[in-house]
Amino acid sequence: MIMKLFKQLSVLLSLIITVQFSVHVSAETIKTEKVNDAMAVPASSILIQGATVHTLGALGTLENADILIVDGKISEVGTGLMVPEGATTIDAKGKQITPGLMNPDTALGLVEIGAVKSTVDYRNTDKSYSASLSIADVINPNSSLWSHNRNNGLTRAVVAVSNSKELFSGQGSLIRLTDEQDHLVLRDNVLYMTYGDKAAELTGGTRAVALMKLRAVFADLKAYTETEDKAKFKPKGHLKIRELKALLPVLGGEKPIVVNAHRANDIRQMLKLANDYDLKMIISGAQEAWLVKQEIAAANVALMLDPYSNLPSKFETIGNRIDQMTLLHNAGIPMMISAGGSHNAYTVRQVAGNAAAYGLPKDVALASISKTPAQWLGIGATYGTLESGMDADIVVWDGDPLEVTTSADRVFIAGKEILATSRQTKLRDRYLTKDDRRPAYRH
Amino acid sequence: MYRNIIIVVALSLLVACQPTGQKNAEVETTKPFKSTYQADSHKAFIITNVNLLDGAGNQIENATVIVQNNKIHAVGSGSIDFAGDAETIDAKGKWLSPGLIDNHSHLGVYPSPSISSTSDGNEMTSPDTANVWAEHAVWPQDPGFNLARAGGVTSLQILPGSGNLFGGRGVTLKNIPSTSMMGMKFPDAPHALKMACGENPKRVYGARKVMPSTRMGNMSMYRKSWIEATDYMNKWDDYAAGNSADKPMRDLRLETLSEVLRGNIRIHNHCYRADEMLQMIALSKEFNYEIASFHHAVEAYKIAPELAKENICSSMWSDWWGFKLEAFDGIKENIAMVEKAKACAIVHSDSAVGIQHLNQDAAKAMASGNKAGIEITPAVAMQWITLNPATSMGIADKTGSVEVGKAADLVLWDGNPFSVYTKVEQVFIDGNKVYDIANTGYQAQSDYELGLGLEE
Repeated sequence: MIMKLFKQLSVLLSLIITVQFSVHVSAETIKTEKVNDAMAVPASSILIQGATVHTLGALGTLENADILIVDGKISEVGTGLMVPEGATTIDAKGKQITPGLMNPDTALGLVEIGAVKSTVDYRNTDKSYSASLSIADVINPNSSLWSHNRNNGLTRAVVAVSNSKELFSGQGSLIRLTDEQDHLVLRDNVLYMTYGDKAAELTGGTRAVALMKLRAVFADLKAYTETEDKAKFKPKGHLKIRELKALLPVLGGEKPIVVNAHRANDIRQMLKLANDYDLKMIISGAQEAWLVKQEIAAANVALMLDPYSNLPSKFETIGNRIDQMTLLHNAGIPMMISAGGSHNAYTVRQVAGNAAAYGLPKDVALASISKTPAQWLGIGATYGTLESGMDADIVVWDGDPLEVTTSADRVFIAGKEILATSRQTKLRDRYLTKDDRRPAYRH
Repeated sequence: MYRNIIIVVALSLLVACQPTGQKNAEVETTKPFKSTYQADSHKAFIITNVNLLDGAGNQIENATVIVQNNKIHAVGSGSIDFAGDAETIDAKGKWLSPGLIDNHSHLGVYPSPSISSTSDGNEMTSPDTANVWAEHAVWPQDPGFNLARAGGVTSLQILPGSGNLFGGRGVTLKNIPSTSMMGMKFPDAPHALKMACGENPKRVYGARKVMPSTRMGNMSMYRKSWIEATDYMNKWDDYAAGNSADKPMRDLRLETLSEVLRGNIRIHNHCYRADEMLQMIALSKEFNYEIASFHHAVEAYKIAPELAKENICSSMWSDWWGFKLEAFDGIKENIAMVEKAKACAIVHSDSAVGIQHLNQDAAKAMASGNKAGIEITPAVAMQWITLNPATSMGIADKTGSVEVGKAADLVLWDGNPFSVYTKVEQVFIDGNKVYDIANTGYQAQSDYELGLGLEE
């Protein structure tokens, strides 16, 4: 019933709002978008001229092309665009342009210093809050990590949460790295669960128990939706009602669920689960995915990978290999890259570059750090390609966007250019400047 | 490392004719756990038309390098005559560099698989374990060695971890597949002594309510150990000089520390913060020893001129920061700023992943420098991952640059090594091919990786 209500509400709101914002699935989602739009930047036009533009859309890669930004959105992409009256023009000859980068697995806003517990909000050890846990309201957009990451081209991220004692760790939210209070793009848009070594450790030492517990929860979810008298529903699995309710939107794929699994057979079991309950599943880690690529390709799931971390460091990752994205792409599997933790979340770009070096087509490598995670995590209609109507999350690079010696010259989030200072640039300038004053007075 | 003792003992024999002297000298000249590595012989070869980054700060286009009898026989631009029988590798469009060197690795002591039964890098049972040797825990079957070799690494220093003030001796290895550590051990390379500043030792021991629980405790314990080591060294010197008839009892901990004081073991000091590095320099002056390199020196940029003046290397990452408070001030221009001050800059990995891509880490640091207006050429950046780490490890006379007479440790790249798209094509150690991207016959696999059923 609740599921149905959610869906109806969704559809209704969508009808009203889709024209304007072209979104999304859940009620919460739309609310968030609306709030953000009210706080959007004032009307302005910016024309970026003469760059190589990787649109990641139908236009492909354009040479000597222009992008017109109006009111925070991309208005037009093409060659020889007219300069609108009053527009600011930016010469980007010799530069390359991509969408702002996205990292689908960070703790941005939930960590300042990893080893300083008081600054860390993404590691939950409270078993009683699992699937229902929402971190959306505690994301700190003033974190020093944000300016550093966006200076390096990251404009979007999923903020995830972990639970060291539970198979279901809660809900992530999707942010843009703005420096105002309009960072929340999607609230609680993705759920997390654990399988493999870690799950076995959490459930008494064997994957068998972990798998039974996971399956029992999904059986409960299905039974709950089919029960007339919800008040009398008694879960048979280990999650209580409050936690189950938070998981309901994963049934039928209304919200994606990310599951960590590496071993080929572990991935196989998750595919079964995805199929049985029609989940929109993203398998993260997945270091042995290439061994079961045909089965993955046949299922409608995506992978969240870090092929740069190629060590056979666990027995469940013994098949790890640096070129696996190429093998998986050739099998037709959608992929996104997650790497660099939170402090260097932008280094998904280096991993994408390495994937390209090992044979992944460059546009697929770029899509794996923008368009593909956007599509799978619920913002594909507004971000991820450089096309008319999309949010103007744009990075102007001083060279090949996948190259390690390349850096971001200019970064725009929703059409607004981000001021390029950060704690790091201030430290650099303090000690790089020739100055007779003591360093403490140089600022 | 016992050379000083031998000389002193020999002199004392001449002067005092002590009957015990002869025996003493025998005991002290034994170097245990000797390297058994011997380079295979190979046919001479000539690499032509190559773009050479020689590791010593030069780039030579259209270079020729001749390799004979495990050594660099000749280097120059254009063609070079060679009378002997040699195979020619036409390397047009390719780049050549020295074999890469990492002075901060835990391969073998923290191997893959990373499980408690293989975790052998940190003897965290006492804050001063100068007595332990990393080489006694190196597992040669760590597949990480093979991955590092595929990334161009030919020599590496395996250090103990940073949980202790004195973590123990580090060992330098040739990255050559072997069934024993001794078969990899770099002949005649000096040992390292790993020291650690700051958060780690005080956290590890503070949590157990034993000393050190503060940076005060850290410093007092370093000083206590150096006082003991000075005394130990003096006792042996007195004995060797015949001033004392009592032969001192060997103590493995003090032996390591006293060999540092004699200049035979090199200090590699984990130290993030600028103020702590300066404290450690003051400490080294109090006890008259030298520091080869600070490691994880994320704040080196704040004191780069001082580090240049003291002739201490800084071993750094291109971009790691923020994982703990003492790493909070890490900036991407750190390495370039150290280079700018003409101090010794090194890119190190401390990572079994990073060691496979030292060239990319150097590339990032080079680009960050250039972006900030500090001009860094590929020829200079190449030094960060070759000659400079070799210098810090005391092996720069043997490897680290493509110069006549040095070991033929070489990497042939299919393009500019500072591009993400470039791959290592071939790796040579002492003139022998140890990796070839196109030939599985030159791609080593560890025993651990065999037969695990990983077929599609």
